[in-house]
Amino acid sequence: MKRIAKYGMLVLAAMLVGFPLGYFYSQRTVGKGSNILSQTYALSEYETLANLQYKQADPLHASRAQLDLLNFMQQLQAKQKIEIPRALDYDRARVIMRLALLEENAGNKEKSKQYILEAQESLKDADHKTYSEEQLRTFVRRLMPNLIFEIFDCCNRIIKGRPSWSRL
Amino acid sequence: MRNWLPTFCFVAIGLAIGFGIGYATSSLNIIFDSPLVTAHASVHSDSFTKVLTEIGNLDAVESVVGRCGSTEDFQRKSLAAEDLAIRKIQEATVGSTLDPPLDVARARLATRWAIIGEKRNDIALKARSEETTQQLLQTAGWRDPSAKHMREILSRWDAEAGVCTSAGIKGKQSR
Repeated sequence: MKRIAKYGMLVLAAMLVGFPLGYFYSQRTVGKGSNILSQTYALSEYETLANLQYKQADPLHASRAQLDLLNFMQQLQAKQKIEIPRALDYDRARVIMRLALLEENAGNKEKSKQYILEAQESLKDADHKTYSEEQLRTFVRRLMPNLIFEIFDCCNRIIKGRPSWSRL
Repeated sequence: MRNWLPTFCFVAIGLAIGFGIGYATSSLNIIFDSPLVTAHASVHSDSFTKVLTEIGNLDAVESVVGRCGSTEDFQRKSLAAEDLAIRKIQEATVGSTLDPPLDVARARLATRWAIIGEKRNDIALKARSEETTQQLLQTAGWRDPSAKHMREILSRWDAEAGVCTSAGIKGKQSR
């Protein structure tokens, strides 16, 4: 009887040690996956709406939507741990370049240059390379500048079974 | 050595059970907070987290709306969930600096209702939804705010994603 009690206590004590280990391990694994999922879903929807505005709306509304998307990305980066930081940097560069093109079309050359510099900085954060203005223009036109972005985009579509917003 | 063996076994069993319970508890918490499962953000969340959760939820719902083979009842429930998510985003943006283009989301929703109206031969629903779409797209500053244009965009989108609207099915059949 004494033996059973002893082993029972042992199992209980070991369970108490095992519980936090399992809990924190899940936070690091499942939690990370869930963060990726929620950030991907939220960004995808925000980008879908903002980019529909970019392609379909007048310059004022298009610009407003891009600025709002940029604001969302900045707040996301400030408030949460970004699980796919490079993808976010690429996305941000693309949004900034779109703003640059909108400003250029509106005749605001100075502001457009400023946005191009910001886009270059964002891409530098992503892969430590400096892209020329021409490359950035191609980046916005073609949308998928390199393999990493294509992989991310492809995964996004596979996970969610939906097309990239860039095809809208 | 032999005396230690049962002790070691019981400790290992206890650790494994504790680990499993801890892992399952945390995983369930995380899963129920996921945008795929949760309906809405916690009331205690800050406005940014609410926008993030609700907009993720909107995307999750939108990605299943119009799937081939889904029943009309499922579609109606999905659209109701989408409508609720949009209203929750609207509420959450009040306390934040964010202003997502929700008119476009509402126009997309109205277009999906128009598709359902067409499937059911409900001319009133279709006409009302198309009118709403047009009004919303005008507010959103679209160069072509017609319901037809939005419908074309949705059909292209759904066709690429492998989901189908009535227009998508017609498109595939005509091909």
